[in-house]
Amino acid sequence: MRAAALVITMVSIAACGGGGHASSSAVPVSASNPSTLQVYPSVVSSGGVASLTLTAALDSSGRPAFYWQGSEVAPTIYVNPGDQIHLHYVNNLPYTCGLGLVSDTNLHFHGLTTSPQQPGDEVIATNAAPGSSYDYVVTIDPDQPPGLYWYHPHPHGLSNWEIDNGMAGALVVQGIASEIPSLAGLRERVIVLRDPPNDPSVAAAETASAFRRRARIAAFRSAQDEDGGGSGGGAPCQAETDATPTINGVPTATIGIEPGERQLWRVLNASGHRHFDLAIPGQQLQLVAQDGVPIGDYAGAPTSLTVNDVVIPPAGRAEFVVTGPDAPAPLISNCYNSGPIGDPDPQVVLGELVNDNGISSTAHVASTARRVQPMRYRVAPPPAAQHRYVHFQEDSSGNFYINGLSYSPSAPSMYTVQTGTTEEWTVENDTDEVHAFHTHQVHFIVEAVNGVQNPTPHWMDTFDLPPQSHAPQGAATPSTVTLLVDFRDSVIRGTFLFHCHITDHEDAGMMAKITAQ
Amino acid sequence: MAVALASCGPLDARERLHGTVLPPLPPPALRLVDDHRTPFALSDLRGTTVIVFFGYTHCTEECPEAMTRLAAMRRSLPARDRNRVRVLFVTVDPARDSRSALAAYTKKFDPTFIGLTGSRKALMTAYAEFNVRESADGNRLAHSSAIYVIDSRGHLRELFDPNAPVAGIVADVEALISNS
Repeated sequence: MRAAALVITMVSIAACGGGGHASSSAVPVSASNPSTLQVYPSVVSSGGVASLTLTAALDSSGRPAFYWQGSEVAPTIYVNPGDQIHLHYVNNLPYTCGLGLVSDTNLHFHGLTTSPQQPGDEVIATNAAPGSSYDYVVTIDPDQPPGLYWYHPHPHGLSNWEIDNGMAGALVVQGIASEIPSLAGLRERVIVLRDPPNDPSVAAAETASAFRRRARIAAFRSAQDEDGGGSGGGAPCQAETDATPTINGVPTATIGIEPGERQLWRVLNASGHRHFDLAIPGQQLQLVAQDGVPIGDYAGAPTSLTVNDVVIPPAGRAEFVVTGPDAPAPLISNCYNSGPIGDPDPQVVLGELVNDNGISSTAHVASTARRVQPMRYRVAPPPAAQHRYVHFQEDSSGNFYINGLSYSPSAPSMYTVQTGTTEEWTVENDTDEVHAFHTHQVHFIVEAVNGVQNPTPHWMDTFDLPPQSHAPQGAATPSTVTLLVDFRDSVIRGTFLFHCHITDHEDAGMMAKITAQ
Repeated sequence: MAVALASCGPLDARERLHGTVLPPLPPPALRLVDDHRTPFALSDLRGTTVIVFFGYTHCTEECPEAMTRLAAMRRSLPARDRNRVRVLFVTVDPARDSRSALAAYTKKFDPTFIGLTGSRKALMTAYAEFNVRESADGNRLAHSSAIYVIDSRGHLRELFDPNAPVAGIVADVEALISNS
């Protein structure tokens, strides 16, 4: 369902050169008739177990969707460290959906440091084929940091179709106020951002997306030929389709907050391709957690970071404190430059903060929490036991690779790691677009980007690899990101994945296995 | 070498077409063999609006649905336009889809429909040109099931799902013919 469009009184978007942030400025907008921000239904653990049945099926538009208790919705799952999730997952999708693959599905519990073995967070062999089901038992590590995680399908080749159309839900590990007492009692909002395709031909949308990418590559090459090398090509701030990002299911929403009130927003980017660069013009945000882990959980880091905007790559999460403005103010996503052949991420207005006099319904941050000591993430990580070089690559035919290999479910592990250790990975992006590096089961610290030390290291599980750069004569210099990857927890023993979380890249091969011993 | 992209004329506005509109791209080659053993290239049909569907003759789901709709589409066109559109059926099951099987299958829907096959290499090239994916599950094949619409200059213009309303395809084919 689409709410009435916002009336943009004046928007000025600057040229979007370079990588990452694209500079933009916007004058506040007014909403003509946006919906009130939807609050997702919740499944809260009881007696140490969060139990639910989730069904995958096509909706009335022919798009794959999650159904829970008869409604098309993905509930937010609330658990405590040490709990279990018992999830009965039913696949009611048709045998095929016109994509060249049987409509398989499964689930990944993104960001959790949990076992990658069945019946837990295993995505390589686990499959709920059409007409069948699978019973997941996922144990939340007693040491799992409190914050926002999520669950989504992970069938190789179909992740983009399933996630991009909306098969995803939020998962909150409770207890953040035990680490940041100032959050106790604040109203909190779970916000899920998506960018569902809006093509009139639902199944053909996947095919169309590949053609759009092909056209971007052709335009980039043509521009390179014309300017002798240069950066050329790319229109990151110009929409390619009619698709409209959504915030909790609608294009724009009013978000109730009293002037001066502090609220905790837990924001999940559940889109397959789109980056969000969130900002509330005129206000700074207090970032308290990223990818589920409180900022202060990294030894020596502050409790929070004060920022003007927050970039959330596909699959990323950000938890930040917002202060209610004195007058209605927009929530915007700035244009994000994902590189000359990357998906365009133009500026968009997602909502408007309005005074609700404290009455709109939403949860409050729980002040009761338990977390077992010592908290592993807070212990300074040991020096890296291993150093690896990882290359993210692609070709003009739409194939994607890591270290020259395109993912196959039957391929052996690319790396074998030892639990109890950390490793330093230098990840190189040899392409002309951003890739959202993600590791299952573990988090990492970003030590440096293109040789520049990260001034604010903290734990993450998804991070953008900037596109390579081009000299005027056309020579390309890959970008590099240096990571310290945390394999300390022995619960991760088994085989799991790392990949680009731009899901069509993942589906086309930009993924590999890690075996933790 | 710069890629020359043809301008696509007044139908560029995506709201005027009913399917998923594609960006301008160089024309695909589609070099295969037709059901009369004659070498085929998409350029042979320049000046004609072309519909392409990838499927297989044992298919019981999307293929008969799409082909039935495409036959209805052609019947719905004004008589003067019926020979200005060609429907191509490209096999994704070359092992079982002989030329005679393709001919019998396509003619069952409409005598002007053309079945196409080729060597494994030629077919893989065609699949790549059209971003077609296919995978086998026993004798059952899963395959991309988009209906591709190509204008008289050989450019891919839009995609439909196999269950798309016939009226929209008819309207767009008529528009492309009148624009050619």
